[in-house]
Order: sequence, then C-alpha cells, then structure tokens
Amino acid sequence: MSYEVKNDLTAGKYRTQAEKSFTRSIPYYLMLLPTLIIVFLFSYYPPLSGLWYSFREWQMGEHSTFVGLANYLRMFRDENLIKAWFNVAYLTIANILFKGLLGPLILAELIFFLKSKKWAGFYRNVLVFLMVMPTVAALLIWRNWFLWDGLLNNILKSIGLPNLAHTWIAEPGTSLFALFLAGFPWVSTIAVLTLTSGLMTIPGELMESARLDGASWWRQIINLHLPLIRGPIKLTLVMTALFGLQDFMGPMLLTRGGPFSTSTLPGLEMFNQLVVYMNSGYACAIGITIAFVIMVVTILINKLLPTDV
Amino acid sequence: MAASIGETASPHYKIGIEWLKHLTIIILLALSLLTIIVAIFVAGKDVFQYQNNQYNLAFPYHWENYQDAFKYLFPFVWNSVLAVATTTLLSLLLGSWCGFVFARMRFKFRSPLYYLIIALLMIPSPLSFVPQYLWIKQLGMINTPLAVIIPWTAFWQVLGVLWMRTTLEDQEEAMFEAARIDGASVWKQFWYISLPLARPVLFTLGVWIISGSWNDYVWPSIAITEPSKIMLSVALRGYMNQATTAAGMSGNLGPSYAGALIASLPLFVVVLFVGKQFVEGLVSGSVKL
Repeated sequence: MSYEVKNDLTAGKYRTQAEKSFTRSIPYYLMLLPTLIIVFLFSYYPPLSGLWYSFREWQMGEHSTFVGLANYLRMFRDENLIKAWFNVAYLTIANILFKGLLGPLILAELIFFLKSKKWAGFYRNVLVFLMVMPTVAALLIWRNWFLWDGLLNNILKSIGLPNLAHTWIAEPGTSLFALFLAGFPWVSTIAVLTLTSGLMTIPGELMESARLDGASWWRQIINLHLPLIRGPIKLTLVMTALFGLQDFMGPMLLTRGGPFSTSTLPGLEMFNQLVVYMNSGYACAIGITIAFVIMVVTILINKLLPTDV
Repeated sequence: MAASIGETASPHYKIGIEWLKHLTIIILLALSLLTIIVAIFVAGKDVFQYQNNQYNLAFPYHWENYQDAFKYLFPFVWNSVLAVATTTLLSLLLGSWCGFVFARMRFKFRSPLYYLIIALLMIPSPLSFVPQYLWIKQLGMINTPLAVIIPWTAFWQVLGVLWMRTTLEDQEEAMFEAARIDGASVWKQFWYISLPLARPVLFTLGVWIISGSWNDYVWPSIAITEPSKIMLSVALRGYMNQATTAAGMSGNLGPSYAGALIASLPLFVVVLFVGKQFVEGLVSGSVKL
C-alpha cells in the first residue's frame, strides 16, 4: 500500500496521456493479455464454478440437479468429516506451536547468536539442502520408520522403553500423533530463513546496548527479538497455519486417514468425495467450507498479532 | 544453560557456550537431514544385510539398487522435469513481464488490474481444487502434461507478479528514461535492462517454484493417471510401496530408498548451483515477502 502512495506523489514526473485514456492504454492491456487470460480461465473461473456446483448433486457422470443447500447440510451429518475437523484443529495448533514457531525460532536464534559470521553463513547454506528430498519420498521413509519393525520402535527398544513401541500409523490412539511427528524436528528452510532475515534487520546499536546492560540471552530474545521480528513471525505462523489447514499429503501417504477416521483431515474427505465417491457437488461444498475456515483463521492471526508496535 | 553470554563470563566459559551452540545446530540439522542420511545408508543394502541390521551402513554397498530404481523411475523423472521446467520458465516470464509493466508503465485501471491479480493470493487453494479438476477434465486436458503445467503456472505467476513488481519498482527510473529516448521498445527495456538487474530475485523465485511444483503430489495424482505419463512423485509412491509387505512389515528397503535418493537428485543439483543466491535473496530482504 505504501508503494501506491509513493508512486502517486511522484507520478507527476512520468505521468503520460495513457493514464487518462482507455484507448491509449490498449497496448498495455495487450501486454498483460496472456496473464489475464490465464488468470480468468484458470484462477477465477474454477472457484466461481465451484460455488455453483456446490448447490448441485452429480450422479456419477454428466447429469447434475439443483439441490439447494443439501450439500452444506449434509456436512453436519457426515461423521468422518466432523472427526476430520477435530483432527485438523489438533494438528493445526500443534503445527503452529512446533513447526511454525518453536522449531524454526530455536534454529534461527542459535545461528544468529553465533560469534562467527562465516559459520552462520555456512549453516544457512546447509539449511537449503533440507529442501532437496521430495515430500513424498520423505513421508514414505517416515512411513517405514513408523512400522512395527521401523526405526522409531528400534530406538525406543534400544533406550529401554519397549512398552512404548506401537504400530504408529495403524493404531487409533497414535495415528494422528504420527502425522504430527513426521518431519521431526520440524525445521523448514523457508521459515528459518524468514526469521533470520528478520533478526538481521535489528539495528546493531540496540543489540550492543542490550549486551552492555548485561541482558541475558533469553531476555534479549523475549524483550528485544520477539517484538522486533513480529512481522516475520506472523508471516511464518500464517503460512504454517494455512499449509496445515489445506494440506493432506500426510494422511494420504501415511495413514489414509485411518484407522476409523482417527487421522483424517477435511481436505482428505474432500479428495475422497471427489475421487472415490464421485460426489463432485459435495466435494465442492467441503472445499468452500475449508476455504472459509482458512480465511477466518488468517484474519484471527492478523488481529491477534498486530505488526505495529 | 548459562544465564548470560554477557561480558562478565570468563573466556573459557564463552568458548564452551560457543561450542554448545555449534553442537545444537549440528544436531538439529542432522536430525532434519536424517531421512537423507538413513536413505544413503539403507539404499546400498541387499535383503540379507537389511534383515541383519536395518539402519546402519553395511558393506559391500550395492550400487545396483540405484540402477534398478533408476531404470524404473527414469521415464517419470523425465515427465516431471519437462513439466516443472516449462512451469518455471512460463511463470517466471509471465510474472516478471507483468511485474515490469505494472511497475514501469502508466495506464488507466493499472491499480485495479494489479489488485485483481494479487487478490488471488488470498483465495485458499481448497476452494478451487475440485472445480479446477472438473474444468481441466471438461477441457480434455486430463492425462496430458498441460493438466499440471497450466494450473501450476496459473498459481505461481501470481506470486511472480507480486514479487517482481515490488522488486522492479525500486530500479532507477532514469535508466529506462534514457533507453526510451534511445528508442528502446518496452520489451527491450524489460529484457535488456530490468531483468538482468533482477537476477537474484529471479533465482529465489525460481527455486521456490521448482521445489513447490516438484514436491506437488496430490494434484498430479488425479490430473495424470495414465501409467506411462504420471509424474515422478506419483510413480515414486508406487515404487516405494512395493517394498512394504501387506502385513505392514518392511521387506527389502534398499531399492526403495535408492529411488527416494534418485528423486532428490534434480533438486540437489538446483540447490547446488543456485542455493546460495536463494539464501541471500531471502535473508538480505531483497525479496519482499
């Protein structure tokens, strides 16, 4: 927004005739045409058509009939979907705390507090290699580790806790926890780099005076860093929350939502309604509900964590 | 932990703390890279070595596991590389070109058009997942590379427009004024002046797009289902699941883990070449998120 203001103030310098006239602007519209076509056909049309489909019921193929709010009302009777909402609430809160905040923040602070700038740069470059393995591959490896003879149980046995061994992804009590645990220690490259970029913008004099006043490292973090990197923290939180609410690769690859829907998520229910049960209309209605929840959560985070001090 | 890293601590003590920090960072990074480390250990095992001790490094290292995995996965690596490369080039080109037009040109309805495109960033993807599938199906694109390239490009170009506009807006207007006086077309101003200067941001955005589309699994799994045309992520699941027996116990994981490593190779090459620029782009704040 600030950009708009700045440009309007300086616009006089290079204000052209085209700015006032539609016909003179046509060459510019032609320049934007490829993007505008793609945007309208594949970004705006699908969600709008989805809104329309969500009021219709599709029978296996081409024919669909108008059913009013039936698809939306059906969601309240869909037990799997209701479980899915509880699951996603649990997962999202855990995600925000551990994957959005704790994991990346600990690593970013550790790298930031290093005396040697050379090593800090080195670790940051190593961090990029976390992005190398495709999510599918990493999840399937974790799947192996969660099996009865997998790495996790091996570790538990070797440290003398054999009673804690489970078939993690196949037991009702542990399947959702397994979804959360996959990817430990939850350090995402982009989150850490975003937080680091925030830390590096803190003015050196502030850091210096805090150190001279004898502020301990955790005082520096709590009273200096956290308030000053609110922007990047908020960004990381919003991204983690949104990703957690809409992603369902975890249950799809690890648990298939089971057993007994104990680890299903709304996105997976939407996917199943589309692909397995071919209820396109109902699937659209679920998608719209998820999108609505995502918007509410985004607004909530933005309201709860003001950027300005 | 110590209560202070302050001036009062003795030098020995400080060095200890410094080592502790290094150690913690290394442990965290190693744990994060554990999937890759274990995969390298296990990928070279035959079935007996695996049954004997699952997760340590065992010799002889069976390179033929990689051969087997590569033979199976190669066609799909190729499918994915083509689709991802096309998506990345298209999104970068469209995104930076529109970003340039919005940043440098003045025309009627400039702001409304810009916000019309940027507003898409606020539309959550579940809203369009199902209808996008039905729409692509109606257009007859299912089982063609277009079924992934078009939705991906539609998605990434929006981010491109946002990033590139904010970046290109900061470039010195005088350069373009001089070029204009010399009679350079809009395209020439974009291609020869603006774009070369925005290289670091292009790298960052490019890595972002490549890793985002390379990692996508859910959409490719329904958009392309014909066995010979599927994307790597989908093929990889089939290949890696062969190793797990129906009873939920693991069989020989050697080839399966070798497959995971082969699928990591393209991104590894990308990170090796432009990883540094990617980090600098994000950390220096030259990319405005």
